[in-house]
Amino acid sequence: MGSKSKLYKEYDLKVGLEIHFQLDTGRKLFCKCPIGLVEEPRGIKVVRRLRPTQSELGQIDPAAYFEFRKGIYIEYIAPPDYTCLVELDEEPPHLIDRDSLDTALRIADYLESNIVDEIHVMRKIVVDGSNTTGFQRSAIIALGGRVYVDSIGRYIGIQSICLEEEAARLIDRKGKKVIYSLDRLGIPLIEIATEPDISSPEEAVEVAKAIGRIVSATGVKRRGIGTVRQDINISVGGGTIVEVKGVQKLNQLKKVVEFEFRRHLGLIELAKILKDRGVKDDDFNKIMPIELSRIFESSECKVIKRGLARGRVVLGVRLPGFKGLLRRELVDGYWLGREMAERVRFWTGLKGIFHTDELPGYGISRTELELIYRATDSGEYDAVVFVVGDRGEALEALGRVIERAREALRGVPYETRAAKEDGSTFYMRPRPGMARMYPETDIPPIKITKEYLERIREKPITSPSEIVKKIVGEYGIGEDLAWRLYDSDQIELFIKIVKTINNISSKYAASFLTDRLPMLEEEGIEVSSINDNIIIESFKAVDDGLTEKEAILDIVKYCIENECNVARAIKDLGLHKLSDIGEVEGFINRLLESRKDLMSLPVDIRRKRIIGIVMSKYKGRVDPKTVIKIVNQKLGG
Amino acid sequence: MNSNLIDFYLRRKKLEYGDYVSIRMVDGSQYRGYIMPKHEFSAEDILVIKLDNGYNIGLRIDKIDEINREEPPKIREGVSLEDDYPQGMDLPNILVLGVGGTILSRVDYITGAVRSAVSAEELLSILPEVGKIARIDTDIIMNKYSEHLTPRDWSIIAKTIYEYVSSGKYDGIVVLHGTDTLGYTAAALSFAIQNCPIPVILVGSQRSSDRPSSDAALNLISTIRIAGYADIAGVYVAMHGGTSDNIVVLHKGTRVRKNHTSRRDAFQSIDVEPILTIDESGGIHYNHIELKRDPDRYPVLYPDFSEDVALVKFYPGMHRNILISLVNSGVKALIIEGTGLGHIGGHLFDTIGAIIRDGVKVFMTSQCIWGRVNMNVYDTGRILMKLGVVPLENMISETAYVKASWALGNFGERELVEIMRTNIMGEMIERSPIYGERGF
Repeated sequence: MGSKSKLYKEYDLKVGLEIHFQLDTGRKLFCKCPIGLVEEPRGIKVVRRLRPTQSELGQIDPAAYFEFRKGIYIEYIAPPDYTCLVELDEEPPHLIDRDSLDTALRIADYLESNIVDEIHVMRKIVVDGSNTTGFQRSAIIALGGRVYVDSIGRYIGIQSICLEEEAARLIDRKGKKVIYSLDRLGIPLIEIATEPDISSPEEAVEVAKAIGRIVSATGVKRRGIGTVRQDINISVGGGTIVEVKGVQKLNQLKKVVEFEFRRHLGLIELAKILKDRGVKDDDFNKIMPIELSRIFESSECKVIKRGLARGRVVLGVRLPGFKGLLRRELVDGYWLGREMAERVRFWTGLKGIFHTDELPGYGISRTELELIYRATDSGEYDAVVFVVGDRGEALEALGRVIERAREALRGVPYETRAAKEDGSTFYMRPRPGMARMYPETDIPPIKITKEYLERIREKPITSPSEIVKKIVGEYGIGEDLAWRLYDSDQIELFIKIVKTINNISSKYAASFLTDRLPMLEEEGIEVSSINDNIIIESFKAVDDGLTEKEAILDIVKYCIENECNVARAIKDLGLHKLSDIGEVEGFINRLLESRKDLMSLPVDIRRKRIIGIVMSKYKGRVDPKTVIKIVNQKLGG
Repeated sequence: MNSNLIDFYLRRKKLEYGDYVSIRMVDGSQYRGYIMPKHEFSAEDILVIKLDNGYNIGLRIDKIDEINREEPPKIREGVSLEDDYPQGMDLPNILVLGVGGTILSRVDYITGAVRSAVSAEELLSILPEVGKIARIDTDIIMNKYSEHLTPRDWSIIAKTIYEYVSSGKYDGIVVLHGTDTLGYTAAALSFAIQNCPIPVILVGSQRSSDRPSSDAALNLISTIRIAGYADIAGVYVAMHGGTSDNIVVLHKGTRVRKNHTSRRDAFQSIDVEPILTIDESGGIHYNHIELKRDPDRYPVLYPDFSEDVALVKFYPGMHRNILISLVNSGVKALIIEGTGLGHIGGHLFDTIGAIIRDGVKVFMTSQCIWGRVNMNVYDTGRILMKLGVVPLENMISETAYVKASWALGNFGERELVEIMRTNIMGEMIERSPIYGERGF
């Protein structure tokens, strides 16, 4: 760890986070629809196209224009419980949700951010279809500020705090059709952007955690998978800032920063090698794509064979000085050749590229490789990239390859990347120019008056550590357990449970929530979506002596799977506490009769084995203490 | 705009809207950006700044410590659309006329202000595909939101269109119009320009054209296609046929109504099938053709509209003074939107009788929107007819109002009742259809 952190410092790793938190104030940001997601999107389907609109200079964002020219059309599914005409872009937005605004202002205040005097909702152009309007409504609430991160012992600067609407949910892409569900569109989102003050992957996690805890303290943060998303801005050695989008988990965040740091270092190193080899930007001006189809007339390579049979061509370009660099590992399993392939996939319909660094291979022989080098006039240090496709598409692809190769001379390219689950990243699109925004004229500006701010400040956010301290003091649970409750957003539920129980300890309730309940995730049940009442009722049943506390998890699970209430679950599962201990005694007697083998075991093990058998039969129906007592009596312990 | 305070402030600081400035506030915070014009609802002591990241924020001027003009940052390059779509030669000639509305408004991304843009060049730069469909000329007759239009404007529009139609230069005319009163203008033009040799199609948009999701593009491209290629003549309205971007529907000018405040498919043909539909790829599907294009046909112009007509909706408890004051203000024809089959409350019978005896012509339509009035079924209807109220079959009330205004304007009071009862431009349909979409 120590050497690593020195490395981050030596190479001046700088990370800024943009964290998006969904809020649940009971309604969406610009309409009165309730907040929730459906499992299987159903509802009316609408087909739309979005046109990139022009700037004041008659120009259009290249990436947006590219999407439009591809002929992409969008199908929206509108689940009726969570959508109205506003989501369909068939009705103007309603006034902003005041509870969301109040929450954003409280957070801004807590983070010592400068709240603007008047809030202007803007339209941020987004034409990928994720917003039916073609823009995302977004407003700056406050600028500047700072957050003290205990675990790293210093302040991290805050850049801005925005309130915006969540985008629609991507369901599928099929050829030219992109399908979105509209249930998620319009959920209030608070975006908190930090300064690039973070200098290691571990710090990134700590900062995200600290900010998350503050938003949790508002009491309206949504829980569950996908309700918090991080975008990361990262630079190494004062170089290009790369944006990575869509990080959903904290351990993923750490991996993404590590991955990007190493990728940056690798690319900087690559640029050095190219410089040493004397490769210059001008060298690329002379490069022309060359047709290589004839070389492959009797090739064993399936992809090429199939392509040629369909009348496609093989075109290639020589990349001067790139030999060995296309396959040179930047990060484990990731190299420049893959970055080129990602570009080609984004800008064309082609699935990938071939390059000489990985040949012979893929059915391409040594002879063919030699012919490729010869046909492209390649020298000792040159590599060749080639593709199979329609001529136009192939030319476009090679253009993108050359573009990426050129960028390699300068180190890290300026681009937007997307994060994968495993922490690696891939090319998503070019960085958009200055975000094109214009005022949302359908929503009047909101003046933040002194009186309004005073009202907000009457109910400031209680700091997370105070909340935890209070829980520890009031309910006598350990601080560590209290933090775990806090971080899983279960404080509120915990308090509700404790208020309904008299005989079960608070500590048991807390550790049930933090340790046992998450076990349901393995069975495909999302804990955050469980109705609080099921858990509370289960505890109450135990507290009333109807069943034993070991049964709670089974009851909760049964209630969810069978959509029934707790009483029903106890009945169906046969979990009613045994009123007649005689039955247990009888069972133990029969057990001792029939299982002579048990008697040959050493006495302590014998005792444990018997208790285990009895408990697994009567789990949840009898107090373990009672069982132990009876067994001890029988065995004369 | 109540931005006097900001104007004053900027003058004093020798600054202007659109200037790029750096600002230091009293509390030490700093900002950089363009000075923006104010929103109508922005508070009077707020200066609106567009930051470098594109967001606007409002700052209170009494908290500004220092403000200085600076050199604005460079804007990164984008691509231009035009080059991809050369304008073809052998294409129909289409005239695009601007009357107003948001269909061809453009937003200024620096100021956020919306302005209309209808030079042929601008149109082609926004919708380059149009260059492949037609050769376009443009002219702006006026630039008004449609709720501000009056019968006098209908006259101006009708005369201009008539001139262009008579010139014989065009295969079709497209009129860009706000949607609020689009149906009224369509009816007005239907009556004013008769025997038309080519299609004249009004088109609007329900989402302003500066938004990526605007319906303007599909509406306008489809309308230009219909105007250039469909074998029809006369006055029509073309708008989205559903909430999806795949069908545009052509409605007859005298039978169309805006039936929703905000949906793309707000316009519907009332009690009649639309003339045709056109899909996104330009395929035209005819339902019925009433008049085919014929370059040898001579158009006839009746351009005048009277303002001495009123359209009133009856409601329970309506006070007779409303009717009396209308008549006192000089109204010569009164269209009543009655209930059901064409009724009004008995407490108004005397007043209606008196008005009619005074020489005012009173006509009956129904507030049901769909269906025909029939005043023979109930006493109420029969009494009203006896008093002299003239039922207007299934004419939609807005069209009835326009028609009365047109009839009075061009032919005077004497022939009014007869003209109103004669079907001239398909405004009344003898057979009530059993098909047809109603409501949403």
